[in-house]
Amino acid sequence: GAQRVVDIITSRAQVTSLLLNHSALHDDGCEVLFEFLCSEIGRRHNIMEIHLGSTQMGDRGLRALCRYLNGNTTLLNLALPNNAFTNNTELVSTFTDAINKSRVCMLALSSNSQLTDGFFIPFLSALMTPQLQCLLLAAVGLTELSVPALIDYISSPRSRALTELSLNSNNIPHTSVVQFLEAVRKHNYRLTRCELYANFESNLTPEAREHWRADQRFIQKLLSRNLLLSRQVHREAVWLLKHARPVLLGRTVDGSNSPRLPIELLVHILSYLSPSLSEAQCARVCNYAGDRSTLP
Amino acid sequence: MPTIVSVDDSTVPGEGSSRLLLLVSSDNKHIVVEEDIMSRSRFISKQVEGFEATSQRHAILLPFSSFVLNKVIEYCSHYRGYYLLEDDPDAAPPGRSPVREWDQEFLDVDRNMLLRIIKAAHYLEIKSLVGSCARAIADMIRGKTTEEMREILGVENDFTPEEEHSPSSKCTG
Repeated sequence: GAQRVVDIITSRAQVTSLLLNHSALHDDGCEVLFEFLCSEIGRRHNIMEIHLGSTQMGDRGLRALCRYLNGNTTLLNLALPNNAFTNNTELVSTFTDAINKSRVCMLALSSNSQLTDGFFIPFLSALMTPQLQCLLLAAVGLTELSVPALIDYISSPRSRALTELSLNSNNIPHTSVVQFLEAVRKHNYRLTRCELYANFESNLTPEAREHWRADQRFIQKLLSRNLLLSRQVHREAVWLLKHARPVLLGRTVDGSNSPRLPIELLVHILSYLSPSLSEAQCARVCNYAGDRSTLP
Repeated sequence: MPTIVSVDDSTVPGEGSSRLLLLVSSDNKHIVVEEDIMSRSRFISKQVEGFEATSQRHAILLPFSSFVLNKVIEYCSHYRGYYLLEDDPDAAPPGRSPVREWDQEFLDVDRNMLLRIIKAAHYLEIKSLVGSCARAIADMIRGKTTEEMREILGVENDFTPEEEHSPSSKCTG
């Protein structure tokens, strides 16, 4: 089957998406596929999306994928739901390292219930790709043991691009959910979509059910806050850029009456035009605005 | 760097609870001011520390006019004894200065004067005054055209006529 896929790719001028869900590639097929994609001919195709859901990919297949991912600059979306790889410590480390060295923006590992905390604790602890925007971890057997690693990840700059996180259908208890939400409240202003549905048993007491409802309401408030802030930051960054361009791309002069202001004062003045931006954000916008090479 | 000249003790009578400093403006006006008042300026504080190390009193020459210097002294006098977070060297950077009603009235001056005050405050390292001036100037340029902003801030167009007509430079407007 894998050789047939390779033949089809070879016969086409350009292939950008590989949607191979439910294709029973197994480890052997994955190895053939990724060996080809790593070859000179395979690399001619700028593959941006790979879906390998329910292919029964095991550890050997995942290792082959890691070799392909390492340093890959074209792949953006990677979906590996419902496969057979295990939480082998060395393999987790290799996989995380490969993700960190790639430009993957969307990673789906959902429905790999065999992985559990043994995979996700080291994975989340070492995950630091600045590109990752969407992480789907539904039904992967997460328990309260993974929550500290998860909290550490979403609280740190390692997750600075992450806007979407799915944690549905895991086994995260209410107390851990509360800790997670508190961490989002205090430290995370990027997530705009976060799902925590079906993390409870079906025979909940009315009181426990009300707790979950309260959690859902709380997370919706946090996500609304983040969405509002991200829109505000975007709007103010553009506003600042509009004002900063003519000021910072010019040359300050000593007029007959007006004194020449140093660049740091000009930047400080401009920062008052966008009060929602942090100093670091202002500095980044002003650096960009004052760089002629960024003009379109 | 400021020029420091030695002065006689009689020029600076600094024997009270708050010693006196002699500040000399660029138009050669000598202004005597209490050290306490100017302690908000980190630049002046560092100079005073230097005097104590050498056990000699000096006049501090400043590169701005007496008119501007008097405005800065007026600001420092008003906030004498006040704690302003922006001026605390040990506090974490507070970000942008808050709006203070008195500052708004104090800075109700013409554009050139405002630019001179912010430059002097920057030189003297009075962060609260720099912040208040920056806020006032930002309000002046908000929503202005490219030319108006450049005029207010004393910025000259740095594009050649050829660049001015290229698609890239139009993005600055």
